[in-house]
Order: sequence, then structure tokens, then C-alpha cells
Amino acid sequence: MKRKELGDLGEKSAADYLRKRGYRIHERNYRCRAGEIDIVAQDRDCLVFVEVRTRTGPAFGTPEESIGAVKKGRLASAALTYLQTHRKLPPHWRFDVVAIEVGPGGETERIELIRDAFG
Amino acid sequence: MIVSPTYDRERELLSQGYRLIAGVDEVGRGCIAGPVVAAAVVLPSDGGLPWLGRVRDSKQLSPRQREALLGEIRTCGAVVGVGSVPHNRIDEMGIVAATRLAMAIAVEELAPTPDFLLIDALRLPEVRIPQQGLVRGDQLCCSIACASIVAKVTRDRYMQELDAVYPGYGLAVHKGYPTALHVASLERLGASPVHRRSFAPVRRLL
Repeated sequence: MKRKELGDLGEKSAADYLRKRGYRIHERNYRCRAGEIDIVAQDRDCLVFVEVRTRTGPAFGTPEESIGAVKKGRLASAALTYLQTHRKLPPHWRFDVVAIEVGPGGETERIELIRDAFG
Repeated sequence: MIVSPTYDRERELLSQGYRLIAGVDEVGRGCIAGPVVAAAVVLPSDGGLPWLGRVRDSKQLSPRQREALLGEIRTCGAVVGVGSVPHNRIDEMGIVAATRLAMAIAVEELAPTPDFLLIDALRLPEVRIPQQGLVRGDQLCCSIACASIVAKVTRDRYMQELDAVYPGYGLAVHKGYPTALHVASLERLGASPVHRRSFAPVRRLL
């Protein structure tokens, strides 16, 4: 399976998983000049910027640590832009990471949610 | 006889239809302190890089040459990604896994995503991009050599900062490699918070 397909599949699985956990999905694939965010969601009174990581096979390293400095910066910049351009925002916000492990045929094997990954 | 790295593999891949070819290399694997740092570099494919002939594996260049070439890489329109894994995670994961992780992070940092990877000495099956591992890739392939330069300069600068925080070991000079001076200062001072406790020369003293 190609990398982009893998990513798209992962993002869809992540959105479904978050919904089951009671998150409300506001937006997917939020893009702005400063960066991009896979899923913007809400968990009760907290706005959650979600980065989805899709891996084939067991990962080496944790999902959060697989995100490099530049990417983290783009996430932060995009989050700030979102906060500055939207009204009626919840009182809190944070970053979560959803890590999806996919088997060789594309089946989802494991989904892990890391709350407040960059706390 | 030192043979300079060539752009041949990249040229061949370009003729096969690949557009963004990344060279990937790491530095700091054998160090007993500090992180392992990897870099990924996609050189602009439209040619016109007169300095490319000066590129070598970073170990074959002086610090000044490395810094100069880093400047060229950073200003020529190349896409660059860097990844590093710190000493404590090296202790937990092992150096091989940590090196692979650093490389994976570096590749992930590249925007746009490359469509082919030329990797020094390893393959990264975890990373779902067509790829080739090249033994001595940093001596054979310009893109990998450029990646080795980026990784080396980045790591060296960081080790110099660490030296200011943990003086006495000579980190700014040997960059964490187990030189005689380093091992001697380790015996004298004990391990610092940034030494890799899982590595034999450090573990011996604990």
C-alpha cells in the first residue's frame, strides 16, 4: 500500500476512533500557510489538535517522538492560526496523537491515543 | 585513493521517473555521549550546483569545509530534514533502533515527501517509500554525502552546547566519541547526565 493511501486510511480510522471516544470532529486536514493539522476535534471543553501517525508493523520509538522539530513547529503554528481565526472557542486546547499500526494487508491492528502528547 | 561521490544514482532514478530523491545518513552512532543525529537531503535536480564536486563524506572534510558546504546545501533550494534521538532513549531502545528512528524522523521532516530514499548502510522498511541501502553510501552518493554533512554539523554544534553545560569531558573536542581523553575524563569525573549508560565504556564505571 502506498504511503499516501496508508496515511489517508489511518486518518479515517483515527476519526472513527475519536468519535467512539466521545470526541466531536470539527475539521479534517486543516491547512493554513503556517502548517497543517490532521484533525481538529473537541473533547468536552477542550479543543484538541490531533496528529495521526500511521505505521506498518510495530514501531520503533513512541509515536510522539517520531515527530521532528520542524513538523512540531508547523503543528504549533497551525494551531495558533486556527485559534486566531475562529470564534466561540472552548476554554482549553491541547495536542493529542493517534498512533495507528496497520498490518501488511492494510488492516488496522492497533490504535493508540496519546492525550496531551506535547504537554 | 579517495573517490568523490557522484550524482549518478540520482540521475538514474530521475530518468526512471522519480522526482524527489533523498539521501539519508546518520552521525554519532559510536559515541558514548549525546544523541544520534540523522539527516535527509533532497538536492535540487535541475543541476547547476558547482559546489557539488567538493562534497565528500563528512568524515573526510575539515570542520571549515563542512560548514561551508552546509551553507551551500541550505541555500541551494535543497529540502532538508533532521532527526535526533537522545542518549537516554538510546539506552532504552538500543543504538540500532535509535539510529533507524532518527533516520525515519529526518525523512518524515522532508516537505514535500520524497519518492525515493538512498540510505547509507541501512534500509528502513518501516518507511513506506521506495528505497535503496548503500554500503559506504556516504562515499558513493552525493545526496547521502550531503546528508552526512548536515547531520555532522548539526550534531557537532549540539555537542558544543552540551560541553558548556557539562564541562570537563572535552565534549566540544571529541563530540562524545570515546577518545583517550574522553575515557580518561570519564574515569576522573564519572558519567554525566548525557552519557550513554548502556555503552560499555560508561557502564564499566557505574
